Amino acid sequence: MSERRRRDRRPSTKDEPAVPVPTPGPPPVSEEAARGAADDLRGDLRGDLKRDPLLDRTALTMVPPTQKMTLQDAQPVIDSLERIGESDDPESGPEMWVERHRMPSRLDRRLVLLREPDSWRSACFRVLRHRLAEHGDPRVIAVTSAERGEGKTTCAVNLALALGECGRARVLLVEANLRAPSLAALFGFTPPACFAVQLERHRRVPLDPWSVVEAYSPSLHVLAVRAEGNPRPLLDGPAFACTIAALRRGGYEYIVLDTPPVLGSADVNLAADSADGVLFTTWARRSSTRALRRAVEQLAPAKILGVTLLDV
Amino acid sequence: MSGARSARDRLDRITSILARATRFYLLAMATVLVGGAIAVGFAFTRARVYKSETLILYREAIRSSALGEDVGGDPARKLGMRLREMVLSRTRLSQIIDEFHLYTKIVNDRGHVDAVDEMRTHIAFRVRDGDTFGLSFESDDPKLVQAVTARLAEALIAENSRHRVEQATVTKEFLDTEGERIEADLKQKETELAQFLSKHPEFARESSTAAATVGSAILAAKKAMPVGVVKDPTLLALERESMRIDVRLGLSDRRKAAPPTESKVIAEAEAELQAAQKDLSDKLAHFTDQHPDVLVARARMKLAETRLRRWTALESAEARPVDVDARERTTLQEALAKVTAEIAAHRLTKRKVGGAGVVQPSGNASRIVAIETDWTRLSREVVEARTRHQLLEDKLFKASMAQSSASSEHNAQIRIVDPAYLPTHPAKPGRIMMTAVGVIASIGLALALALGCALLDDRIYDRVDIERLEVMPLLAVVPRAKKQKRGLQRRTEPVPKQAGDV
Repeated sequence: MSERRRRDRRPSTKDEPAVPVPTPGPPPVSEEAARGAADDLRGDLRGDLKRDPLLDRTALTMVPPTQKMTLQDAQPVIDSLERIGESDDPESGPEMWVERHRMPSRLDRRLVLLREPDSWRSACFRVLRHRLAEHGDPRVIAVTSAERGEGKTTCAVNLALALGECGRARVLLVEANLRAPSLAALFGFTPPACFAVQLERHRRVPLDPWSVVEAYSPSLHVLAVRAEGNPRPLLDGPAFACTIAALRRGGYEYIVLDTPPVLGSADVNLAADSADGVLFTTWARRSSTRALRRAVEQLAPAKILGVTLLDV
Repeated sequence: MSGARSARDRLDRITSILARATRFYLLAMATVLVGGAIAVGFAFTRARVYKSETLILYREAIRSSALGEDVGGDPARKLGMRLREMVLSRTRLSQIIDEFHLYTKIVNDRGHVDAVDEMRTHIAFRVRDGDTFGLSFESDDPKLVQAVTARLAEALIAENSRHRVEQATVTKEFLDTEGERIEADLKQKETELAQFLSKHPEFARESSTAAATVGSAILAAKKAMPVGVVKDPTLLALERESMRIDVRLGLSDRRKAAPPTESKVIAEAEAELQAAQKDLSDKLAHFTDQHPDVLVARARMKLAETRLRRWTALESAEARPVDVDARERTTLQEALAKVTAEIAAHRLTKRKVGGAGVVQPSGNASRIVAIETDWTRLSREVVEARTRHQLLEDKLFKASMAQSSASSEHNAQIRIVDPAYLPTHPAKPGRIMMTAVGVIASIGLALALALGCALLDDRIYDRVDIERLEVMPLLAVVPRAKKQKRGLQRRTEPVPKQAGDV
């Protein structure tokens, strides 16, 4: 397939609704504008400095280490595109466009398996991987908690990293928390295509290719939601179920769903319908037993795999 | 997960609760700080209280044994209660409040009743060892405290003295009235007895020693009877009448043989009177007329005179010469013969009727029984009246002594041993003590609050909390990240070298 065709079949981002950023701050920067600015800056530096292989978009868009990273700071960091699954047969799996994301110089503290791979905490996530294998080895795992701030994203990301560690399996990390996305900020990139927008588009064009980001490892792909311009949509249950079914056929051995908290919304109930099991997370000294019990009652009769206790 | 909990589990649970309680250290510290601040504020803004105390001694000027048990001293507890009631009497305290202008605000707002109640809370009356009592008063003015305490002690002494005099006076007046009544009663009984004796002189000897002799003879006759034999009462009455007539017939001989008992009693009464007179003269030589010992001696002499007078009158009445002349002797002999014949006839009739039969008494026998009954009744009433009179005289004597003792100046039973002092320092507890108590109480409250919050806290702290829920299995426990230094803590960290291998 020629380079022109590849560019033609690349998932479009023009269909994404242009919704202004609700939070005050710098004006939203479009992907094309950000790429152009990065190229301009690199061109300016090229004349003064010797060509440095690390002097790419990643280095140029890296935020200062003392500054808290926000989605406005996270610029596109894709340096290559790859297409997998070229068949047009719906039964053979969807077409996937993978954009690689280089590892930034600084990592989020929640990326335990990357920051401290030999630590006890990383070992605990690996133990969690084995425990899940003992509990029926679920392939689609919804990670949730009773309330906000109880370690859903931390557990989902590290579980996905553990599942794909050493290339043992291809793992897709899906951000099902559409109203409070955090995966893009955690990995430090702006997704080329918002998962919420792709979900909406695939209702109309089911065979349209999916755009995922390869985060740090070829085994881990991420379907993240853009925070800017996100109208905070509700999770479309049937579309989500179809999406998960299609992604299962896309060659991923594990799909980890980072879902919103159970109490206060029904999104987890919809996500749990598409999952093989639900994994709860609790944060020591923060989660309450009463909320956990109510969350379990709300999710019934979904299959609950167990609970992970964080930050003990 | 479930099942019986071991001792280790319980210990872990306790340790977990204590560890959780430490998480509420901010609340505990805030409680201690607030409580301590309140304690300090209370201790340093509270008006200083001064306390003055006086020590009073209850002392018996005259031994209670000399006045009788029921007139003299009181047990310490009972006495303490009585003195306490005297001190706290509403009338007395109301007078003191008006005198010293105490609690003016309460008096103006709510009246004397509440002011007295308020003052009672500031008065302490403590029973110490023995007969010593402590009386104290508290207020914010040292001089006022001293004055009020002294006034309370004076009021207590005056009230106690007035109470004792009043009690002794009332007692003596009552006993005087009773004595007059009993004396009149005694005179009436003795008059009736004398009239009876004038009609039936054969009973005269039984009224004193002869009566005892006759009684002894009758008792001896009763004892001589075989046990189980029921004597006929009519026959017994006739036999007693026969013995009385025998006694009258042989009266002169017996009087010569046995010395009269009345003379002996009179001699004893005279000796007692002489001893009382000697004692009184001795006491008068050493003390004044109002001295209690003199009063006691005088009362003793009066009592001895009364006894001698009574025995002399009795002896003169009983020792009247009995005119047993030849004509009366003949009459007595005839009566004796008649009684003897009646006894014989009664025995004969009884023998005819049989042992179980009932023989109707004759008219003479019935008359004798009726006379004996009257004699017995009169004698008993006179004896009882004399006994009552004697007891009353004793009581009257003691009451007289108690009254004179109470009214005399020597009867100051309550004395002030330690007068009320002027306090120079505030009464305890002091400010430091109150602050310390407040801080300790705050610490206790803080600990209780922390422990209560830990018990009510339903947050998840460790794996035990999830296991106790029993709703889902615990798959993994991820420990807390190591704390970094404060200046280096940041959201993102440099990528380690090993991270590229993942």
